[in-house]
Amino acid sequence: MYDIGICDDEKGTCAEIEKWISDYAEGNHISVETEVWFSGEALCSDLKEKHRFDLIFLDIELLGMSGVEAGSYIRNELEDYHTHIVFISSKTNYAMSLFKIQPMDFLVKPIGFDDIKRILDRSIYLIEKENLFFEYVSGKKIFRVMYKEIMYFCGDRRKIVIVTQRGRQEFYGKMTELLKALPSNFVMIHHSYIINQNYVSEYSYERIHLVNGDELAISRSYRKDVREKILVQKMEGKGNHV
Amino acid sequence: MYDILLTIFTNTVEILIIRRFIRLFFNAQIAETKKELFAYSLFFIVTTFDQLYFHQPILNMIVNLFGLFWIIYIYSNNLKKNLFLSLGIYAVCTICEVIAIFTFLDYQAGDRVNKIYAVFTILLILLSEIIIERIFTHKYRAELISHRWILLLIVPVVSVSMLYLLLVDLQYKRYLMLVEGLGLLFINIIIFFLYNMIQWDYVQKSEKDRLKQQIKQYRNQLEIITESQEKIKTMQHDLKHHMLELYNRAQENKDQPVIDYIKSMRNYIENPMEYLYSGNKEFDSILNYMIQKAKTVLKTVETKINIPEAFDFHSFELNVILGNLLENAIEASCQSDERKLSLTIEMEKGILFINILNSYQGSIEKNGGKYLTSKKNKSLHGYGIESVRRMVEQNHGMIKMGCDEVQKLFSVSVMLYGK
Repeated sequence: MYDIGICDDEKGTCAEIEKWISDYAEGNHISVETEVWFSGEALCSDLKEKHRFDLIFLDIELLGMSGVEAGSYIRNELEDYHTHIVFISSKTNYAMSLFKIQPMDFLVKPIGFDDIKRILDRSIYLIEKENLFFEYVSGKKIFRVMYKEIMYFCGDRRKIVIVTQRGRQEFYGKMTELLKALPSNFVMIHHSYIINQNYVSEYSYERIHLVNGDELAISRSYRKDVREKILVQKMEGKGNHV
Repeated sequence: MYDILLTIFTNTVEILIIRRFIRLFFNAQIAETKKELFAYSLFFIVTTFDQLYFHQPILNMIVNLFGLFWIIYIYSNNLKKNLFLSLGIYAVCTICEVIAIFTFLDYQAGDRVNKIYAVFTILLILLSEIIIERIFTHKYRAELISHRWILLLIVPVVSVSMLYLLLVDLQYKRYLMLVEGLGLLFINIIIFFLYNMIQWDYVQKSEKDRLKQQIKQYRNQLEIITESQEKIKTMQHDLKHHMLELYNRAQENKDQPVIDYIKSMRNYIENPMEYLYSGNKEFDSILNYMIQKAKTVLKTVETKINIPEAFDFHSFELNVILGNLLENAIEASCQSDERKLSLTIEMEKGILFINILNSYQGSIEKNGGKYLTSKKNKSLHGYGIESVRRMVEQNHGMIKMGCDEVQKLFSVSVMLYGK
């Protein structure tokens, strides 16, 4: 069940997108529920009441609260880095502030079914990957954490710490072994650090910034590999996330 | 009799040398041979006559100076230049004469001198002229005036005056005159060199001013163009909105003819002539230009550009990189059957990604890790890609090229870090 939201003050646009989503859902045999808002305020008040969505189409030029403000609210106030945000605009130039929200993509009006299809394909693929669990053994018990929640792994000697948005967990293991078991969005940037790319807000050659403000240095020996990985990921399938 | 013949001979030679001297400073074609012949002949007659029958140094000076000045006027109307040249040349000639005489004689003002020394004079003049010819490297024969010329005039004027004053004063010593003469000759030769340099500087400065003017004009033009493009964009934007509204209403009314009509209009509106991406003039204009160019020569051009406005992202390097890569891609695509090009520029998490796909014809050769150019002059080309590579690497970025032999698509991907 995918929860998709559409926020646009043009009713026609909302109706169109809704129709295409349901066409897509039918074609791919997926169950989808859509919610529509005509203003940023309505969207935010709904989200405040703990409604969560997998994907939100957000118009940048809204009357009242703008798309940027709504996006900012989602990322910064609610600290929600999981919801995929796709900005819709009638213009082709975008302010820098929009990029800081890390949207999945930008769509230019008028939108076509192909655009929606492309977005949904990618969104669903990513969500499926993220909803898997990481399992580890501690004591004699098996624990599970959703990959989606893990920001990074930090290891020292034989102990590995799992850092999530909500806290930390520990277990015994080796970093190199760990890497092999993780999905492709986990990258080793240092012999003691493996990060989840979905939590990276900014990359530079020497370091990365995480969404919670943390900064981690990429050690020299890993820089070229990290760089290569980022580029390859982007190349593989147009419109891939890094 | 002997005297007269010698005078005629030396004067003729002297005039020929002077002619050569003068022509250094003007474009040879300017003077008409008939005019020249007439002027020089007249000059010859007057000066010879004066030398043979009058022995007044002042009269001599006046005749010669005026004669020179008048001759130079055949070549140009530029008063300041002509004044300098006539004075300068006159000074050199006079000083040479003084040196010639004082080398052999203990001359006193008013003495009559054997014309045989005139031979030595003209030899000296010839020598000086040749030296000046060699110095005259830039060969600026143009008609420019620099206000500094007045300063140049001072040297020949003072030199001749000094010599003249010394001559008049009977207390001079012979060797002193000789030394003075040599020194002054040296200075007067150098003066021509300085004249040359000043003219060169002036040309440079004028050129620079002219270019500055031109740049200013281009800048104004660019602003005007950008402004009107902005206006067009706003109009297009509004039009799009209206169309959208009309379309939605038509949908509500299920008015099929209107729907179809608007759909067909949409395609037209959807392709703006101009893409304004970043607000950075050079970047936007390069992109616009390249995309337009691609659209005129290729069949399929796809673009996807998601970058922030006003981003100050290594703009110089970026322009070079994009310019080079797009040019290569367009050229290769042009020669293929499919004529396809796709450009994607995206900014994500502080990294700028550029991807260019183009269709190609034939086969692509690789040498080691590098792709070879198919362009004719192999040694010259491939330079574009090298400079792109260097620029990307300088910024710790990365570039990857790939080739799909089945679909005949060549791809270049670049990533650049923001900081």
